[in-house]
Amino acid sequence: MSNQERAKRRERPLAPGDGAAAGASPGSRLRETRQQAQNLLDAGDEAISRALSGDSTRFLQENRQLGGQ
Amino acid sequence: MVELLMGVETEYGFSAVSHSGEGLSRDHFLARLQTLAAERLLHVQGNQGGVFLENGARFYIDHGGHPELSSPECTNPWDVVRYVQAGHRICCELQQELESSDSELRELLFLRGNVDYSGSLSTWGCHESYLTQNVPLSFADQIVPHLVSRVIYSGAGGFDPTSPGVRFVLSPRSLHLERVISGSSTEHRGIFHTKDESLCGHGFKRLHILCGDSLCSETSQWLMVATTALVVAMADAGTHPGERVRLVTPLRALRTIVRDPSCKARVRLANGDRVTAVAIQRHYLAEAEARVGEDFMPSWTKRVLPRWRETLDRLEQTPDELSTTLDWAIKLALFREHVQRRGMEWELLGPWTTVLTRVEKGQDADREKLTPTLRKKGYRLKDLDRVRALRDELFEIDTRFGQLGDRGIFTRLDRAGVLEHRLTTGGEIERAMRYPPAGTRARLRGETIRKLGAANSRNRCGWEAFWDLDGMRSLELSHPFETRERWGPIPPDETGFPTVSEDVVTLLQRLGL
Repeated sequence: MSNQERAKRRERPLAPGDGAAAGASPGSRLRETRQQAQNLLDAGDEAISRALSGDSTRFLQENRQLGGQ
Repeated sequence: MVELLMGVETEYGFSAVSHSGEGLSRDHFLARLQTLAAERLLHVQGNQGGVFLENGARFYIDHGGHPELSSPECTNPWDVVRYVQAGHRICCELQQELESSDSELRELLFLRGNVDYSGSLSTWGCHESYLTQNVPLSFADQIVPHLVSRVIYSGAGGFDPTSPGVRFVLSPRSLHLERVISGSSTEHRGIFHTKDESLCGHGFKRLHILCGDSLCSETSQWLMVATTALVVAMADAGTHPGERVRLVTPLRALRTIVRDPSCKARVRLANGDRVTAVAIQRHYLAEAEARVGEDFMPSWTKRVLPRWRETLDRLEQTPDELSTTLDWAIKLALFREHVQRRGMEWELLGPWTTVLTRVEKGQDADREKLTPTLRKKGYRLKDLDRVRALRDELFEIDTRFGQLGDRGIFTRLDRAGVLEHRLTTGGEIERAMRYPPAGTRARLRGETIRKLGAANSRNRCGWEAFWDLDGMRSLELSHPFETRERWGPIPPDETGFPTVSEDVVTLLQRLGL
């Protein structure tokens, strides 16, 4: 699935029972779930690489938060 | 069918970082944020600080220097999601403008998180409000089992902030709860909060829930609000929906549930049964299904139930399918992968946490302190530094997961189209940034702010009224479902407002503004 197709899909409001699983055979459902998981991990790796500061210990200290409610 | 009323307050973590990675003055940037918000957003000053916006929401700086956005009053969970998302978008636009206008700044962070991992043991959160007819404390025992068990779909996911190691939990904020019932919101927080501030008249009450997490997934947020609204409606109507799932020790049950991402841990009920969180949720679901059509249930009840059931089914049978939908499940998948990419096994973080705990307690850091599992795998104590670095990296990933803007991990995943969580469209969120929801007093508030907000900066707004100081009149908003525009003279002294003859400056002083 291309990024464009994924983006189109995510814009579609979800209905109950909608989604990857609906109406699919167990085999294709499993394949689709695995593919979605892999897509997530690949995109996640890229997002994490871009997000990390390079010195997480310092990041945590410099962004120390005070207690809210 | 009754109309319910609900809303969500989102507290954001906030900090500013220089190009060298140094933390900059939070107070300075909070002040600049407030100034920019006043310049960019059509608003009216709030009578208790902050500003009310044209979409009926309130933006202010809360306890601990956390920017906070309260959604307007909504009649259904779909609207709540839209307005929370609109709030994120409003904050994100302010953040981006501030960031680009200050050369000293590398990053201005708005964080949809709930806990601090620097050791401060700080927490902030997401508060929910639900309108009720009865004093909420009168049915606390009916909803506590729901609040304890809903974390299986409404948990933000993350790590136990009280552990020196790496312990994944469904809801890190839950570990900051110290009581079953509490009236405090800044210490000794409870699962059930007793705050008695209705913010309206006409005999209505407000249940204020502060044990929830700030979430990124629209589906997680929708489930949290939709299911809780139904449980509250049943409890408020006196049907005792939680009677058969009362927990012996709710706090212990909560901790057991949040520490078990398999969602199979069992907790003890007052009747002696040991059940899973899914089973408790199925009980509430069955109660709601049995009440469909009752006059105390909202018109949208039937639209919620299939999704609620489907989520519980998936949690029980095919939890992997939720790893692109629920906050905690998305995070767990990312964390596991990241640990593996760093050459470590996720399953070994438990033994390493044991070691880190021993070291933290000052016990001798000799080879014998390694657990048998780690020794068998060939690890040595010198590997501890690598584990600590990985731990802090995971903490940063969790902190940045909900960061607003391009660097936010959730935002990037969403843009890549790899998540299945959306309930809204971009157009709906754009609209919610400017226009209030229908069916509640929020519409009147928002429309009045649009009409009079720019005209007189001395005007004031609250949840229950709008004060037009030029016309010396006030708009009555104490009824939460008010939709008719009714102006009257500003009330006399006993309500804190002066008569028409008094000087405006005196008026503002008396208001403490």
